[in-house]
Amino acid sequence: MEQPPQQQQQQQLIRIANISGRYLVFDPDAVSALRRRANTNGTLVGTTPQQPTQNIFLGLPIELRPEEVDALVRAGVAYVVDDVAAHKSALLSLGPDERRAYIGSLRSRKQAAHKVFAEMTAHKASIAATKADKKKRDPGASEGGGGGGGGKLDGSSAYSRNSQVTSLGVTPTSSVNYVSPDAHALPVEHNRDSERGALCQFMLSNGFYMTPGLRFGARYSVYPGDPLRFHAHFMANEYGWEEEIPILDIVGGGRLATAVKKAFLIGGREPSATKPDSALPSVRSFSIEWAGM
Amino acid sequence: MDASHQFAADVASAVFENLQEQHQWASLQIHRLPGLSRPMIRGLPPRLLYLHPDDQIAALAYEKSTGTRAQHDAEYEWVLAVHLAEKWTLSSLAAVMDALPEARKRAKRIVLAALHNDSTVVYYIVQEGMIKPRQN
Repeated sequence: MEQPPQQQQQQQLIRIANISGRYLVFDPDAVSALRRRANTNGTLVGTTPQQPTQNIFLGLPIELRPEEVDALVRAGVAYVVDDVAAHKSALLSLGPDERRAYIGSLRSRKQAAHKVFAEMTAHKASIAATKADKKKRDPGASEGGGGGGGGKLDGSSAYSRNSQVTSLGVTPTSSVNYVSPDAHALPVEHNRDSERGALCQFMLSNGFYMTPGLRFGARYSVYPGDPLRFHAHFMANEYGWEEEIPILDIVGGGRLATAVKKAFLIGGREPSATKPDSALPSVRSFSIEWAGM
Repeated sequence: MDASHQFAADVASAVFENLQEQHQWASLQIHRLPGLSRPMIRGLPPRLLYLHPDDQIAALAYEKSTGTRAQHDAEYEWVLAVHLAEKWTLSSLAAVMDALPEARKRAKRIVLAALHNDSTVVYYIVQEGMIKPRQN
């Protein structure tokens, strides 16, 4: 992309990192912007570095499908960066000033984390203090040793608190302070074969949300709004305009979709009906439901 | 009449019989639409085959307010008879939709009848565009 990303808060382009053929978004603000503005959820794929085998609850980054990325770039919402090259060049060209600035940013984040942690412990301590106060005023509720036990507990927790504070290290989750956001941005590929991904682009531009559809035997589950608020309406498959669709697939897809209260959607780009002035492809789709007879 | 036309006509007549004898459709006719090589069946089902979800909601609201069920008369349906082993494309489906006359309300729809060698026929409603599913 030639022009640098715009700096306005509203119109800021979303940085998508291309790493070994996968499209990832690391920045939590970018993820929420994608969800709010571009109705794209992505799939959480990140594990914790300490426990990489824990793969039930995944976190950042999110991974996007190639056709989603294509649609987002075409819509002017995001841009793609070759993240490996960006990091490599940033590491190799690290001058003393950049190094100092980077260490400074890490230090300020650490201080911020310290501050939050200190506030949390102070809050906890004040709650404990009011509890102890209540106990003192109402001696009948607990035995005489209660006060001494509380003091001991306070001392040990203060000790552990201190040790935690000294060992508090910051692991940066993204390298925004380190790698300039638009370094090694990849050019928009306009001459791509655009028969694939047209259905995805069409649905994104019409406000539909998509999640992977494999659990219903299709390519996409299509939601009329955010998946946290709505059930999916469609199971969608994209086909080429002249691609053969076995009737058995229509029967199977239609029957499964109806069983889970959805419609089976097939669609694709109609090449003859291309409007040159419109950026959107002309997509034709058909909704299939079991007739109930 | 060549082989493919004969095949299409045979499939259509098998589905025709099924609609007439098993599902008690009335006023069945086989149509040849201009610009379409396949025959289309048109007929009247014994009761309304498809109700759009918005109309479903309206019917429920009517029933709640008046205490009587909303009456929906059966509508004529277009039936496309195909064999299960066939392969269709988006373009051929679009050609069928384009050959149909405009629907009175809502999107154009056909009933896709898939015939198998054991004479089983399954029926699917195919509509033009993204039409949200019925609530059942």
